[in-house]
Amino acid sequence: MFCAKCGNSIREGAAFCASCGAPVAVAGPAAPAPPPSTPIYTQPNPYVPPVPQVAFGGYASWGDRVVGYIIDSLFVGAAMLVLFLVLGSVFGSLAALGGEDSGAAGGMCCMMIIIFPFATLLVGLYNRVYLVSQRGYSIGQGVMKLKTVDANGQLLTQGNALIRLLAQAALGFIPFVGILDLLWPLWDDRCQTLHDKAVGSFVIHNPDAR
Amino acid sequence: MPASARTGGWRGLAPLAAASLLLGGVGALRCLFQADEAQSWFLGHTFGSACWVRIHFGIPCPNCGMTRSLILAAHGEFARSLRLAPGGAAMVLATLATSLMLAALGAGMLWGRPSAIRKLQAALRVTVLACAGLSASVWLGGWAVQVVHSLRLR
Repeated sequence: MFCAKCGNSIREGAAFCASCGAPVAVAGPAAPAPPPSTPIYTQPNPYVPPVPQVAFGGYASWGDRVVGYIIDSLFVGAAMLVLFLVLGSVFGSLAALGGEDSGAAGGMCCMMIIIFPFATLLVGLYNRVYLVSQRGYSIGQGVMKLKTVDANGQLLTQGNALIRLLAQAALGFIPFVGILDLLWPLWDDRCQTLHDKAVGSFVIHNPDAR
Repeated sequence: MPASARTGGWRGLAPLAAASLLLGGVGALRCLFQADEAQSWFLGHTFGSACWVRIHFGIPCPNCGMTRSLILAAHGEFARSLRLAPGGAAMVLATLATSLMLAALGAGMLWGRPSAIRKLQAALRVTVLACAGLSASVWLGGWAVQVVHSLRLR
């Protein structure tokens, strides 16, 4: 065995070269080869649906939603007034031609039961389906700077917006349940109404309106 | 923490406002409207109570008598209201119960702890669902009884 620095011979087992003092590199047993690289499998993360609250800064408050709803309802009221005047004139004329003078008030009463859902659907198809699916908010929601999105923060499809409208209209037909639908965000963790839950929609503050 | 379980600030005002609106509605029915079994009045002016469906088909519609029943229940005449259309009395009682629960929730959100608010919200969910189920059942049941009664009279 020889020193790597000065080339003199070195006694077996010596730690240093007796000539130059350089440390002797001990050839130990070969280091174990690294284990073959094996792919590391990790548990995939469970799916967590995106939460619009985080992405957009919060669910809409109940008060803002109610004011937006009242504004939207004004358009339904206007449509009801027009339908009431038109249908009232037609049915009133027919009743007068037929010599009937009773039941006209009752006819008006029942016509309201027909006119209200009809006007709600007529206005809702534009305001709550077309506008909400195209830009994310109805006229009333636009005034209050609100937006309706799905769980991914995307705009609702027209189909979901239509189901949402029909669910609200159906719930509104049942006494007390219609009121309950509008009150539900007050005690709901995600501030959803029942018709929101029907399609998994959320009403949030519109980030584009700030 | 869920957004609806936060305390303090104006958040508690929303349930209180909702409770006020519901109670105001019942109060308006009591103050502005009057009714008997035959007809109803708004500030002394009567409005039609004849049902177009009943006149032409001989059977009542689901909402026949509901206006008069609601007004009578708001005046505290529950026996007459139940006889006329049970759904009206049930709706007024459900509205009063919900108003009280909302007032409690509002007070809890203003001054209570988050854990107390969550308990109130859970109790409110159970109460309103029970009220909704009860009032809808009574409403439909009352209408079914009226339809059967009308068919027997034919």
